[in-house]
Amino acid sequence: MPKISLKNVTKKFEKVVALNNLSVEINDGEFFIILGPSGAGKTTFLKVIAGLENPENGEIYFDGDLINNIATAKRDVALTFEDYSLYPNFTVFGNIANPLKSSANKNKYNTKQIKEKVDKFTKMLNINHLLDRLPSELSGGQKQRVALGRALIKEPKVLLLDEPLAHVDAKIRNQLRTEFHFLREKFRTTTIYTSHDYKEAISLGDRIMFLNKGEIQQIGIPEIIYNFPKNTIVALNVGWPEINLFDCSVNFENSQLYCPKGDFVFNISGNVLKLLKIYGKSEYLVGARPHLISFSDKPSDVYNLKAICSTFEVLDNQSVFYAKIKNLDLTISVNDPDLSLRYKQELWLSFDDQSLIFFDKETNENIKLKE
Amino acid sequence: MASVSLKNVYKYYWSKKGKVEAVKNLNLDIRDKEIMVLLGPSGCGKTSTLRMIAGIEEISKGKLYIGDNLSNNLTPAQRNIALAFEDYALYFYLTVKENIALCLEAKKIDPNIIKKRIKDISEILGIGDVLDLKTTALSGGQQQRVSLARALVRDPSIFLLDEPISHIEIERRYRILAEIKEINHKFSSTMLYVTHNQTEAIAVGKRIGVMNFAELQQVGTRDEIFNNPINLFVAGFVGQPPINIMKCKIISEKDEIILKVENSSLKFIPEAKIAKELYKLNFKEVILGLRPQNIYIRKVSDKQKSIKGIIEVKEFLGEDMHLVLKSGDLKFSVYCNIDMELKKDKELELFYDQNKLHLFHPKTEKVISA
Repeated sequence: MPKISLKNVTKKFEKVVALNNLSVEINDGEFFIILGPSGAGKTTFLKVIAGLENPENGEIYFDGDLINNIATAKRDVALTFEDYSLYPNFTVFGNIANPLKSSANKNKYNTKQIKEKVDKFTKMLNINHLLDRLPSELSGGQKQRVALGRALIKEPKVLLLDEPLAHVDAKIRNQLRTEFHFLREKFRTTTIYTSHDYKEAISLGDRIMFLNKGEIQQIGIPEIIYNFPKNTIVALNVGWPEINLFDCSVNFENSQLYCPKGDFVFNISGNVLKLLKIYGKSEYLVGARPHLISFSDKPSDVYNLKAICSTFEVLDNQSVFYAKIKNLDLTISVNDPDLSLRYKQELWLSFDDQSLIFFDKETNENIKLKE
Repeated sequence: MASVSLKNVYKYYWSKKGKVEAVKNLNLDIRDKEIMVLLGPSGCGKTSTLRMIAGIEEISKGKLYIGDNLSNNLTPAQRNIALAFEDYALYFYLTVKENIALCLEAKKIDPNIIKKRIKDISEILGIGDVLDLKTTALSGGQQQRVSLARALVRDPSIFLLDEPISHIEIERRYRILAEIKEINHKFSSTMLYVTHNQTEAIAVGKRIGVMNFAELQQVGTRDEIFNNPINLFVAGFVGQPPINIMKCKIISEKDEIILKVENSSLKFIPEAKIAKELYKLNFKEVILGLRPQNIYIRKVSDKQKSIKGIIEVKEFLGEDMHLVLKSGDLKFSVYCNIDMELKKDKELELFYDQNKLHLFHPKTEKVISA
């Protein structure tokens, strides 16, 4: 039985549809990530599960029980907010112990038990040495862990984390992301986690739900989301630099694709041709990941598309540059920060046809994932 | 000519507790037409340095040359500098267009030229559609773009940019960095760009100066800073994921010098010339740095040496992968290409090049080189 299931849930704010007819099941112990741009409905989704917002339509089940009419306090969930929402006048200890002293838990724990519990959880989160500090004396990463401690100490059935890493610096975010892998092993609580950072999502999630404008675009494991994006919205938002998209028409007789914008043709293999034949159309939107376009400084049978390099940048561990074939602008990246190219340098490109992603030109859907 | 040169520059502030040194004995040459980046954590003195060059802060001690002229006592206006601040500093009662035009109008530039320049820059920075709005109606990211536009629209001899894109949406940031480079190229202007973000620093700067604790630590290209860090701070501050730092005991095994990592079974073999140096210095301990990018899951050359670790975390990142491995109590990270065969808890043989081992003095934390 799934831990949480939503059936046809719709939530509106006046005329704006925040969640549009959502159905999804989340498994026990799963680390489930909701990925999407701002305004996608991610936070609303969490609030509906927590009971802070009531949906106009649809049902929500916890362990098979309908909970639409159950109050937040009785749902046994813990929610952390994007801005942490710590009590500024309480110390770290006071913040984390707070849920144990709430009216729902009145007289359940004595002072000694509270101290022991706070001790146990803060040790697991590596904030045991900060217990006497006020939130204003903590770094962003530390505040995040305090908020997490306050949520975990209730030992809730479901942990809801709203953009937990959105407000820390890029450098610390990467470190905390890795740390989350250890934390989820330690706690193994069913977790729903929202993010707008695809790296966070595909790195941490057991499964990912991509949400856009209140609608589910795709649900799947990280490798599927990255390698088989359901449509161009998912493709453009997962992967960096952004995937290249360009129109192509198929010439079935010559086994070639023609790109009008760049005015060039390139060969495709039998299996790709077959796929396109089965789908039955002759015009497609083709997606090419920037790191899967290879290039050489000399022409050859393989590298036969002439391009002109424009801006060139080193971003962290990769080199990124823009290349132009006639009117087609392509972004290309290489995992080599020591690469150096000149402005207007000639390059010869090659597409790996096996890694190209084909989308229907009208629906923008991945043709491989058509039901 | 608009090179900038700081000679033995100090900046003191006075607080209740006494003198605070914000910048200590800074010697820095920014070449004509170059983009120089000052990179460092908050409080390292990078903004104070920029403000002294701009003339908004007095130089406590030392000399500032702009071109060949001693400029300590010039007013900000006389220095012909354009500035963009992290906190925008826009005139809230003026529209976006008026904000951008202000400096140009003050210089009595032909209104038609002003119009054209504003049109060009606002297109580049994506604020063409908000030109007639009051700045208070804009989001933080948009306000920052206006602030940047106001600086870039001028034709000064020096641009000083202090965290100019920190509040702009990530997707737009790198486009703007590319444009800043383009503007630098087009106007042949000298730029000083201050940031705490290494990705930006590497993307925009030809040379990068790394600062910490009020002192300049190292100046160099990305390659120099990344591959030849001068001390442990620079090694740790630049590089993503961060460099693996390991405390090692120096031992001899079969006439060979070996670096044995504390609390783990890892052993590294340094290059012969470094080993000689360690022997000469008679060290017992050393700090070893090895970048996650310089540990390979497949052998690339015969000269590579190997270590072993157990996979604790596998992070699939789409284009590449980040692994955290364990050996004894030590955790270290590896950055590699996608390989779906890698599984958690699997033992893995890994390879490294001896010349990529960075060794630091256990006390002074300075690099040890042969």
